[in-house]
Amino acid sequence: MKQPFTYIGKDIKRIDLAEKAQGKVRYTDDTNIAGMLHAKLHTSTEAHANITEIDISKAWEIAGVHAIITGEDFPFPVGPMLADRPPLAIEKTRYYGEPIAIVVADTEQQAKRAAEQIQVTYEPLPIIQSPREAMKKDAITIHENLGSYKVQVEGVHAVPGTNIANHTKIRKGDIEQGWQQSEVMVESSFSFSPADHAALEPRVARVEILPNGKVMVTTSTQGPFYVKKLLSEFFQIDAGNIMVHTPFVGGAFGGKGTVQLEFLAYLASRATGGKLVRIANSREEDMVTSPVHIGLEATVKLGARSDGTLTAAHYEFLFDGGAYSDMGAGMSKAAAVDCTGPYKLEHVSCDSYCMYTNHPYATSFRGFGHPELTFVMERMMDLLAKKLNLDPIQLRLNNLIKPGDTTPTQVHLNASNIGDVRACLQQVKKSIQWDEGQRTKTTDGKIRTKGVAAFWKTSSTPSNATAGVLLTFNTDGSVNLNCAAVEIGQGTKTVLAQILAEKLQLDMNKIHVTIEVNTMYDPHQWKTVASSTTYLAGRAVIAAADDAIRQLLQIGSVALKCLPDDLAVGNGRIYLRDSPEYFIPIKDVATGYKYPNGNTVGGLIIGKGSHVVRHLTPIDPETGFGKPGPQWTVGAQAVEVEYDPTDCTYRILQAATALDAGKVINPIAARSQMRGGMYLGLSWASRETFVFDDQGKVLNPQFRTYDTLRLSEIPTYKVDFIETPLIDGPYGARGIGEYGVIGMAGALANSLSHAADAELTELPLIPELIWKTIKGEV
Amino acid sequence: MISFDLQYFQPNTIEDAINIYEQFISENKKPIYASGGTEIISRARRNEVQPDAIIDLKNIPGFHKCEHKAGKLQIGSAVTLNHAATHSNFPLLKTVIQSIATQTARNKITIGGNLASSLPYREAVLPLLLTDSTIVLATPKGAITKNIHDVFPFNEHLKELELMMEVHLDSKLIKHPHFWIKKTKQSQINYPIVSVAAMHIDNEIRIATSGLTANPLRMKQLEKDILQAVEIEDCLDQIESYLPSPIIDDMIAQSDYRLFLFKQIIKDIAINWKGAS
Ligand SMILES: Cc1cc2nc3c(=O)[nH]c(=O)nc-3n(C[C@H](O)[C@H](O)[C@H](O)COP(=O)(O)OP(=O)(O)OC[C@H]3O[C@@H](n4cnc5c(N)ncnc54)[C@H](O)[C@@H]3O)c2cc1C
Repeated sequence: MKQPFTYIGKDIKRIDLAEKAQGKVRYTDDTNIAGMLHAKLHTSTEAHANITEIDISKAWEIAGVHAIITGEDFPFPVGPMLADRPPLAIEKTRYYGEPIAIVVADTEQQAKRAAEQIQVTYEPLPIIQSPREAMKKDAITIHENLGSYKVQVEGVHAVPGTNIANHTKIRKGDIEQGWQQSEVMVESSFSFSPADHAALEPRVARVEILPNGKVMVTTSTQGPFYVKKLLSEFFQIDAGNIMVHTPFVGGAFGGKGTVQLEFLAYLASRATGGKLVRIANSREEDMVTSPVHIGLEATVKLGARSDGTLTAAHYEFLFDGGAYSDMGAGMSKAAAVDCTGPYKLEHVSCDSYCMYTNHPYATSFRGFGHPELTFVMERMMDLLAKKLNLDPIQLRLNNLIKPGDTTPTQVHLNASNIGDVRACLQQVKKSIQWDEGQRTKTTDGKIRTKGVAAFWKTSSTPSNATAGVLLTFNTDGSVNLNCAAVEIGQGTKTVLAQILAEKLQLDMNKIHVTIEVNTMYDPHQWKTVASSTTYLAGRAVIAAADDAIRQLLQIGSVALKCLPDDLAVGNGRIYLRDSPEYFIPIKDVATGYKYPNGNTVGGLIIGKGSHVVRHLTPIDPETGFGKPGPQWTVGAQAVEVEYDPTDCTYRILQAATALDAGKVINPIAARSQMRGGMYLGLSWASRETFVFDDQGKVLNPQFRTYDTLRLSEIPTYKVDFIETPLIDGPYGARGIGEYGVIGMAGALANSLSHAADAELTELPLIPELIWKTIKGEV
Repeated sequence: MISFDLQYFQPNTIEDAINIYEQFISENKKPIYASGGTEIISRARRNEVQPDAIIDLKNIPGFHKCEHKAGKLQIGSAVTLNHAATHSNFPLLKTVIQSIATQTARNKITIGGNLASSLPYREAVLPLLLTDSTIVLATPKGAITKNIHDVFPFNEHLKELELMMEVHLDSKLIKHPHFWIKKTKQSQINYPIVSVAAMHIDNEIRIATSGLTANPLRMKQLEKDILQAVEIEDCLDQIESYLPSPIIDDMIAQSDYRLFLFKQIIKDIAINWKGAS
């Protein structure tokens, strides 16, 4: 078949490859600026306590100290969805590691030393360590003034007088009728504690306030414009006076999609008369003081007919949002709207809560509620398969969602807005060699098992999420692409360049993408999250390219003495469609076309384009009815393990993903993206968690004791793509960034449950947990 | 980053090292000896140790030897783990050492630092306990040589000012058959839940373990039990009563799981030994 594309669907190497491979990239903290001051935090040693006194006198005795800031200096709560978090704790502290004071000094060492000298007197309060405890009627309320907090995003439903930061309800069909139709039921509970994002680059920010009032921010973030928005809102600064610069970002995984250090750096700069102040997390602070990956306790009941057809499902999700709601409120909603996974269910009820606890607060993590809900739902599907004595893949195939069905929030699915999950599951079944046996024994007494998971996700974008692109031309005919999408290692800017190359039929070498983002020069973009950038910014690239082409044709028609319609753009030329040998190079018109006599027409070619999501709605507070996201990307994953029954240890042998990408724009990059996702999902599922002591203190805020999957322990990865176009996606592409993570915990847990013949319901899946589960101690 | 000020010394002789140490003590200040420095630095940045002076032993010539001489394997305390692994010619020592930390960290971590670590593991000691090594200590009165079982754990036996110079062991022992197993919470790189080393020496089985209790242990009674046991299971029940302190129960593993793993390893060792003898 003839490949209709020149650049789309090609293994094009990343545009930042050489710089990264040679270590030439400058991340935010790789710059040392003369005269820059350093800020360090004094953080809470208690998980829940009234603060009766903060004595800063000793800290002032340290040489080099310029300012000491405490909660009193800015006693107003901030937060992306519900403004519930004072940037510095005031009156009470709600988690171990919470910022209490900032010291600004000439050197980082002085700042650290002075911060250590601050004496805080605490009056301990009862500590809540799990969302279930937080839900109890007699639980202490962590936020006494919950009712007075400002709701920043429509659709957050806090319940004053309780520890509920958000309650999302789904009521679809008639759940009672659903139970009546059920011939079998399974019910189970699941849980896991908060964990870290574990990005290599710890969070860091610098702020300077210029004499003219301009606030200059440099920060490692997934949302430069979001930083600008929230700084403007919470500190009453005109948005136009805020400039946010984001160099390369050294990994984020959702953890840099919210705003924390930027607030603190701003307060620190303000307290020093606007001096340039840097605040950089130590690894410990990055793990505990800055927001974390959410925890969950869930109980699910599934009903089915004896042939395995799902009839009803009830979900109770209690997310451990920690001390402040941040994006946790959004994740609890995202998990609710997709609670069923990619299965057809007529009768669904779901109560999803973001609970306050005395744990570090949670923010978005790659997959935004979906790795979490999928672990739960996919374990349930395996439990049901076991009860019905059905093959786990067959049970899934019998129930997969498809065009014509509706989602839990009653969105009608069609051939475009949902991909082909059946094809994905069939593919993954092949990749993992399912038919060769789900469970085999090796000659040395080990057990090899396979587990699967099917998944879906729509992105919980705000209903006005947008991106924009500006194209300018150089005198050599090459194009500059400016866009505020943040390069966090996912390769987004390469993909945008490819889309532009395809539209202009211009060599990739002639496309110059500005990788850094600066809110002063780049058009507004919501954030680089939610697997939405290829869609939003990709569409903006197409719009901007169309705009530039229109201008090129117009000026070309003057130069070539014909109508614009007679012309086309390609290979750096504007040429006659029917006689391509008649052309004018873009370089000759990019900055105005000059006649031989010197007269010039046209001026600069500047292409602009933007895209905004459309038709999204908030969901109904009672039923969940509404359209939460633009489309559902679907996929299936499988994991094979080799389990040693003598000590419950295991190796992960294979991990497979089949994803409906709509259209794969860059296959090699997409495969890497899936591998990276599987790695992250397996690392989290198999070993990542914070360990708390009974005082709510995190015992492992360091990589020495916070375990992550090592390169020597990774499995063989298999990646396949299905392509069911998203009609309004760029060249049919769907969002894929987060998806490699989503099914891993479910697939690994299913595989291991099968191997150990014990139903695993917790994460991480360490050998000791398996041992305890077998003994019946979990 | 270390927030407090401290003085740093790199003496060239052992006498200087002890003198500097003594000087700080007499001023009521806290000195600390360092060799690899990795533990001191990582603890100091969290204020878990706050020495006034670091006395770095790396520059003292004799502290770097790693050689077989006069029938003895002699290793200086400032020898790095990687150097000891490649130059000691002692297979068990190499295996155990190479399970500690990462290649990069092992370029810095030293034998002396590992043996004197504040962590319970100190795994490099296991082969030394099995071979009944001797430790040469530097003291204000000069060097003295002691049986490892009399000076280890250092935190209980070394006097102020005393430090480890070298470890010596019988070169003949190093090639005896060995067995070693380390169980971790998940990644291999983690600290051990338990690490067990064993050697077959002259119809005997020798066993030492780390991770089970607060200090690494040579399990002499267990060795005897295994020699005499008819059924291996019989020796397993006694294990707990041989332990001088409670089994560690922490975030790495709970004590019941630790004991379970330990017994299982001992069973493997015993079966393996019975098979070989
Ligand atoms: C990633 C990582 C993983 C690790 N995993 C393991 C593991 O699996 N098993 C394990 O056993 N250990 C492990 N360790 C711990 C490591 O072995 C110890 O921290 C060791 O102490 C570091 O040695 P050093 O030479 O750098 O010590 P230093 O920092 O120089 O000193 C440590 C201590 O020893 C004292 N000391 C040093 N030299 C002497 C001497 N000659 N005489 C008396 N006292 C002395 C010092 O005063 C100090 O108290 C790991 C460490 C890292 C970084």
